[in-house]
Order: sequence, then C-alpha cells, then structure tokens
Amino acid sequence: MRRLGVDILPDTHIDLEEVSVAFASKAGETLALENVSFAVQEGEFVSIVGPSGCGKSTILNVIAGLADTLSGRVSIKGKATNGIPKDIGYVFQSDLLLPWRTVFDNVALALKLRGYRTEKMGPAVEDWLTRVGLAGFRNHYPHQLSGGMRKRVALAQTLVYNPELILMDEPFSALDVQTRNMMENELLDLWSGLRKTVLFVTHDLEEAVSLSDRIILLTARPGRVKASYIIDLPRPRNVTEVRFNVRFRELIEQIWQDLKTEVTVAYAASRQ
Amino acid sequence: MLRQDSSAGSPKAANRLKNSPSPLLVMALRIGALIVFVGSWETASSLKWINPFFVSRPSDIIFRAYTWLSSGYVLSHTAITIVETFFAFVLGALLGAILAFLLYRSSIVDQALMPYLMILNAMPRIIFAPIFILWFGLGLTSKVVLGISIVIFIVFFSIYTGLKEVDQNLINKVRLMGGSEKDVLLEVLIPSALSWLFSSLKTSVGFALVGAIVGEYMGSANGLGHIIAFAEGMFDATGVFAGLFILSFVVIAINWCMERVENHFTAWRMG
Ligand SMILES: Nc1ncnc2c1ncn2[C@@H]1O[C@H](COP(=O)(O)OP(=O)(O)OP(=O)(O)O)[C@@H](O)[C@H]1O
Ligand SMILES: [Mg+2]
Repeated sequence: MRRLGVDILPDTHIDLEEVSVAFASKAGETLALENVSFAVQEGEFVSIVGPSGCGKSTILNVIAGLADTLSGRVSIKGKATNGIPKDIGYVFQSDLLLPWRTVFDNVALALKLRGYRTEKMGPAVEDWLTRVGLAGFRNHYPHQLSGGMRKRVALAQTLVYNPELILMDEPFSALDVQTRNMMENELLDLWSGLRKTVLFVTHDLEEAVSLSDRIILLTARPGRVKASYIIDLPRPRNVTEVRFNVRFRELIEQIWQDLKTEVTVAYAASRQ
Repeated sequence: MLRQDSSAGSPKAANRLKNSPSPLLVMALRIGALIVFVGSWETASSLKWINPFFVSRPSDIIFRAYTWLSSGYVLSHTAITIVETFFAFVLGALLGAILAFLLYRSSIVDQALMPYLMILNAMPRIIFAPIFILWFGLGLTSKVVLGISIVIFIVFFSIYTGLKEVDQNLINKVRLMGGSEKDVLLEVLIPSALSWLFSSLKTSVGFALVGAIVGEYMGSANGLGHIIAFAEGMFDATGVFAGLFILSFVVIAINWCMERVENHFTAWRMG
C-alpha cells in the first residue's frame, strides 16, 4: 500500500488524515474538529484527552461512521470508511440500553443480532454478567438499576461480542472508585489477552496514563491534536499499583502542564 | 472478577408509596359518597322535591336495568356496542400506527401530509356521524368508521411523537452491533411505538366506545346508544338512566381489561 509516497505499516488499524468536522448551528457552522491526524496500530491502547467540548466524542463518532466529515479521510485497516465499519464496538458516553429488555437480554442483544441461538450465547452472557458484577440482576429492567450499574451493562453489552476495534467514551466515569479500578483492570486483562485495538476517551488524566500505550491530547474547540505521549510504563499493569510508579507521576506532570493550558482556554471560551 | 452485588431484591417490592391513605378508608369514603348521592336522589324524587318524570329514581333505574338484563333485551345490544368498539379500536390503531411509521420514515410525506392531519384532528369528529350514517348505512360500519376517525389520530400522534423521541444513538448502537434495518425496526422502533400505543390505550379505546355510542344514538336499530335514544324518544327518563347505568359498567369493564393489557406489556416500566 502506497500513499503520499509513504509505506503504511500493514498493522495500522485506524488512520485519520486531516479530518475536520463542522456542525450547523443557528450562528452558522461550528467547527468541532480541525485537521485532526493520528493513527492507531492494531492491538494498541490509545486514549484521547482534552477539555470538555473539544471534540473527543466527535472523533469516535467519525470513526464509527455516525458523523460526517467536512474534509479529510478516515480509514480502517487501510480502507476508507463508508458508513458503519464491521466488527466494531462502541461504548457510548450515555448508557443507551433498551428499556423494554432485561439486563440479560440487553447483554445478549449483539449476539442475538448476529444470529446466535439462546443456548449458545447463554454462557457468554452469564460470564459477562458475572464479570461486571450483575449476575444477580439478570432479570431486572434498566430503570431498576443505578447509573453505574447501567453503565456496567452497557460495557458488558459491547465486550460480550468481542469486536476487534473497541471505541469507549468515558465508560467508567459514572462508577465509584473501587468498581472503576476493578473494571479498568478487567479491561486491561481482556485487552492484553485478546489484543484488541482500544480507542478510549476520558477526561481523567490518571485513568488515561494508567491504561494506555499512548495518549493523544486535543486542544480546546476546535479540536486539533496538540501532542501525543508514549506511555512507557511496564506491562502487565495494575491500575492501582502503577500509580506508585515514579514514572507515572512524571508523565502526569508533563501531560498536565499541556492539558491545563487547553482547559483554561476552553473554560474562558465557555464563560463568554 | 468483580464483587457480586448481593442486594438483588425483588424488582417490585421496593418503591411502595409511603404516606398514601389506607385502602380501607378510601373504600369506605367512596361507598359513603355513593350512598349519600343515591340516597338524596331517591329521597328527593320520592318526596317529589324534584320531578321524577325528568330525573327518575335510582330504585326504578336499577329495577329497569335488572329487567332488561334478566330478559336478555340489553345483552345483544351491549354485545353489538362492544363489537363496534373493538373494530374501531383495532382498525384505528392499526391505521394510525402505519401512518405514524410512514411519516416518520419519509420526511417528504411528513411535510406534505402533516398540515392536513392537524386540521382533520382539530375537527370535532362527532359532526361527521350523520355523514357516515348517510354513506355507510344504519348498520355496524358507520359506527366503526366514526370510531376509527377518532382513534386513528390519537394513536397516530402518540406513536409519531414517540418515534421522534427515540434516541438516534440507540438506533446507531443496534446498527453498530451488526443489526440490519429490520433489526432496528424490531428491536427499537416497534417496541417504542408499542409502548406509546399502550400509554394511550385507555384513551383510544374510550374514544372508540364514544364513536360507537354516538353513532348508535344518531341512527341505528341496535346498540346501547340506540337503547338510550329510543328511551329518550319515549320521554322515558328511567330508560335513559338505565341505559347509562349499563353503559357505565361496560366502560368500567373495558378499562379494567385495558389496565391488565397495559400492565402486562409495560412491565419494564413499573417500579
Ligand atoms: N450533533 C451535534 N450538533 C451540533 N453540535 C454538536 C453536535 N455534536 C457535538 N457538537 C459540538 O461539537 C463540539 C464537540 O463535541 P463533543 O461531544 O465531541 O465534545 P467532547 O470532547 O466529547 O466533550 P465532553 O468531554 O463534554 O463529552 C461541542 O462544542 C459540541 O457543542
Ligand atoms: Mg463527549
């Protein structure tokens, strides 16, 4: 594969080139993303951080084929995307469960859509219900769960069908610290076992550093790639223990200096 | 592995209203109110404080209703009214739902038809009763059509609004999981439409009944509406009230059934 005279590594999973996205609003067009370029390798765990409203969710939506680009090119495994890609999982920022289906049926949804029979998918669904700590709630309806529990159902709902590319939009933000750390470790185990590609959005810098191979920092709106940081902490990691690592604090320190500027800009803009 | 949340509990047990009055007290008050009302009516009418020719008497009314029921006179009429109500509801709901999906799916159709639907919905449908009787005769059809003309709009507007409110990302999520357009329809759109249909169920069945009764009242040889109109023509206040009395039982029975159906299909919404 040749493009612009450069060989693309065969294992580039996602590739964004000069992607801009605009939304129509009353006051004309708002630019959400401006010339965003980055690539994610197969099996890589990459986090996107940036101030609120800078376009993090929009990046995931563009990759998932849910938002149109103004210009630029998005490709998955070397092919320009056209609509919703195959074999993708997306944990949305809001939980989006089917209110008329029980917890079990919600988790089983993707398997059902893929034509599995109930007997065949039962064990996989049960396994995930246990992993997210909701085995006792299999017959509850979403409105009977707390926000954090709904979030865990949404997580199981996506991970149960084992997509090779997983997009996650602040998946753990509604959870208490203990559950959150357990879910993070669970995610790391899963990821290192199956070598999925994960693109993870969070506003929590410590979470991003403890999980990722690489962090992409976006500027305040319109979102541009401000910097990219390699997280050279040893693996396998435990998200709680890695925080005691000296290098962890160094990385946080370094990225926070850059992030702070953008957060200040975004805050000032929001006050106008 | 995560810890297991053990406090599962039964889904329905929680969430009982706290300071609602005891059901016994409520029942006693209800019966008390009824006794006072019926008692004063009976007394006022028996002592000729009010003219029994115009307002009749509860004892006469109940006796008349009893006679009609025991002779079977009223049963076939009630059955006809219920059949008309049933068809008006089912067909009206079906047509309303189809219309709602059509307008939801095609914004051109939506924009073209919406003003007319608004205008039609704003018209009092009762004034069409004589026209429908003229077109469809004195039989069952004209009553069913009148009922449909009301139900269709109730169901259309409730399902249409419901579909518009479905979170686009819920649809996207089903697509991302590999779902086809048919899956989106079966997993998301139809269940939402049904939940909105059930939430307007009592209203729409109620109006289907109104359509049947008004149609019968205005021109028919059958049905509860006809019984009432017939008694009225004979200046028989007791007959009118006896007809209304039986009608109110039909309404209570229908409401009870609808509540059952609604609870059964919307179990996921209840605390
Ligand atoms: N559907 C939309 N229509 C109009 N504007 C939109 C839409 N989606 C996003 N935007 C705008 O684009 C910008 C980026 O939004 P986005 O949701 O990607 O931000 P974010 O970084 O995910 O923020 P947060 O951290 O608060 O979730 C915001 O300014 C938002 O107002
Ligand atoms: Mg977001």
